[in-house]
Amino acid sequence: MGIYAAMVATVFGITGFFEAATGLGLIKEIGGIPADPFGGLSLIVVASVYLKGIPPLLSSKIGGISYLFVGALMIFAISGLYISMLSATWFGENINPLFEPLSEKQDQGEALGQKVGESRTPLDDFRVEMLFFLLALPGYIVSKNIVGFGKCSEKCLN
Amino acid sequence: MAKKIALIGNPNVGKTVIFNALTGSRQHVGNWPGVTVEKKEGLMIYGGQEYRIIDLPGTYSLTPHAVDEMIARNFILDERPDIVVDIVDASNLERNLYLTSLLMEAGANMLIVLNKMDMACENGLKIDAALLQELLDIPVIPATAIKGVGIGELKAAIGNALESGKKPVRALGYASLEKHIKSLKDLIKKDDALAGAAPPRWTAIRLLENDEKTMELACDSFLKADIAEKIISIGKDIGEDPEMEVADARYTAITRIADKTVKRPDKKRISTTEMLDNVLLDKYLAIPIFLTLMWATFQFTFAFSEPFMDLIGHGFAHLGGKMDGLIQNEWLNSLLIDGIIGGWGFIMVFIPPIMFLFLALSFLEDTGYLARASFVMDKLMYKLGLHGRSFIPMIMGFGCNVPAIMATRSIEGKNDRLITILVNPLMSCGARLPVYILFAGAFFSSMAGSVIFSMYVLGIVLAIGMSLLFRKFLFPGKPAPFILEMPPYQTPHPWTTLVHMWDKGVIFLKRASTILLAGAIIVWFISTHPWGVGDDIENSYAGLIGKALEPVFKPLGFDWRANVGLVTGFLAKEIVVGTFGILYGVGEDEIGQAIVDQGSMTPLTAFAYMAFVLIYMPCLAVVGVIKSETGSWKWTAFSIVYGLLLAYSISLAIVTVGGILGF
Repeated sequence: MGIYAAMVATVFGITGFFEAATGLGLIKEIGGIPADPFGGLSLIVVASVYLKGIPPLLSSKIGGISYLFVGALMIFAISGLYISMLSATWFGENINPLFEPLSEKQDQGEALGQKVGESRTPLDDFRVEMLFFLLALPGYIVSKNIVGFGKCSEKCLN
Repeated sequence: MAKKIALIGNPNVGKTVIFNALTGSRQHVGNWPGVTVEKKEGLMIYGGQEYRIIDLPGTYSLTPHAVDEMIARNFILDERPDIVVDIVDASNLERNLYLTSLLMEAGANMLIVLNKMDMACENGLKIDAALLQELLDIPVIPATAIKGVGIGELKAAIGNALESGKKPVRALGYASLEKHIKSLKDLIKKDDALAGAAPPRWTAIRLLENDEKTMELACDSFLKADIAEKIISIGKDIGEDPEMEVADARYTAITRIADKTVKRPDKKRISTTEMLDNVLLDKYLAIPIFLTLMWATFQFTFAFSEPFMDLIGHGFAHLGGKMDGLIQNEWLNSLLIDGIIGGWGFIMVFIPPIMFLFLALSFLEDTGYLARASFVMDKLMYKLGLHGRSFIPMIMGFGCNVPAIMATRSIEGKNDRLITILVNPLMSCGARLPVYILFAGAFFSSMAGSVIFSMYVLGIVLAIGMSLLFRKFLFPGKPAPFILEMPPYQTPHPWTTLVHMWDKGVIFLKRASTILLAGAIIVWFISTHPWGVGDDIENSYAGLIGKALEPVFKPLGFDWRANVGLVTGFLAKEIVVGTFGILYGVGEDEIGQAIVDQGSMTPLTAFAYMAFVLIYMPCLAVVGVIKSETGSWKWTAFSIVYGLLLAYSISLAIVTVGGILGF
């Protein structure tokens, strides 16, 4: 599992670095990787969690599982965040227009925070992090199986 | 007359859950200590009988150090409830029995609820409730209140205990100390006033513990010289500090009971809580993880709420269009369309982001993570000479500064509490969010979530910085030690999280229908009068106010409309957005674009304006609560003045440094 953690940390870390660096204007944009300093930094944090777990996992210490578990939860949260952003865009583009006849002001085609002429599609919000949860899934399953999460019986509760 | 039933226990043992289950109330329940800072009352009807249920603030002891502990102690000793329900965390029995021992000394007619049995079980603990009942001679009810287990049994036990009447309380034996307690108790009994104030055994032990309040009582007694002499002789006899000896005897008795009644797992298991804490409280990872989660929260809030905001905006625009012209009188029509519908629309459009922010924060709170966040920040804060407990009210300030300032009651030191009150308005409350959304959306569209996040970080950084300055120059000294009990992690129940979100969000809805609507009408009035100014708002009262302030705010790049926003924002920060809408004469979904189009602000001045709104005077309601909690006009005025000066300095710094850097 130590090698797995190293692999995941590398993928997240490199992606995060390029996102942050392009976002801060340090390097030129690379296709498929968004320029987002905070998004990039958050990936680097997740990568650090996996990195810190490598030594205990390589020495088969049970504590190492914690890093796989928390790293997975964090990437699930980040993937979930971007998926929710994508679904919000889809909602805005496809559901909101159904209500537009209600408004007499919609012919301007403007929404709060959206510049005139700027039209966003859900694909614009697609980010590679949405798929990263797949990489974290094996670690999550392993950690759940190793640590006992069993529920207590009614008898035990009373 | 309804019988009085008090619920007491350590912080975060589930008192409020039980209170809600008994009374059918919907008081806020939080997965962190210190949610209940004042006693709450509710009515329970059982078997045709009415009972007054009182939920007391969480307390570890009955020795008063903080305001909330004092409330609990005074109620138990002075009000003498008919039954005291001592709620004990089964997963941490030994520590919880400390309070139980004090309640026994206070002679309370007690019931013990062994709550969180599920958690104890999941941690591999087996508790013999029947043996505990036998050893303490107090009815013990095992429960998992959050799932409703044991609530029926508790109601029945309350009824039974009242029927059978009060029985003498068995005292925990304090071994070699008992003879000294007895001799002091006998002495106390000679003074009827002293013996009547509290059970003599309680008073005797408190005197040995050097309890401030009990000492004051003893000083009023004609036996004060004898009592002082007795305490000195006991100290000489035991050869130790009596206070230490009492603590030692009490812990020995508690450990004996816990060892007999709790069976621990042979092999240590790693629980979910331990596993999560290994990483979330890691020396190096804790703060980056906290910041990442906060960033994700604000990113979610902004992005997910946008289409819903548009929907509400469409609805109000439609309503305004339909109603326009229905009233012939031009003034009344303007009041209805521009003042009431338009003004209310400016406010209501921000319900989605506020609700989504509270949803995310409630989720984090319910999981038990927010309590960890205060622990994580405490390490940093204590190094800076600040009090760790301050962080909980500060995080609460993300919702609303009013309850957050009230929550400072759990801080023991007067100076620590005052510092926390003074810096709390720097924590960005939900009311500022609409302003950030407006400007971040208009000027930083793809980075809006991150810009909003930066405002929250700025608030935290300034709060820490100002605390440090106040500590150094106004309240020198070391902060009191901070002890925080970590609640266990739990999977939030969706319904509970939604209820929490609603509890926090409904404050905004109430404000929207009252003070914010009134504010919107005031803004409409000053921007349309003298009547007849029409589109020439520059010559309205609002224009006059804004222009009068221009020399002051010109260095920050704010125009007269922005100045009016700052003035009306003192009523409530959300009104700033409505003010811009009215002054720019556009609908709620066009304000941002109008500000950009008219070129009255640049991204840099917009950022400085957001910072100003974050920092300057708290709203009227917060000023009121600062006055009531500090009891001082001096500190209330100070909080307003320093906020204004700080806001001006930071905004000026943003504009100046940003300008030099070419933004």
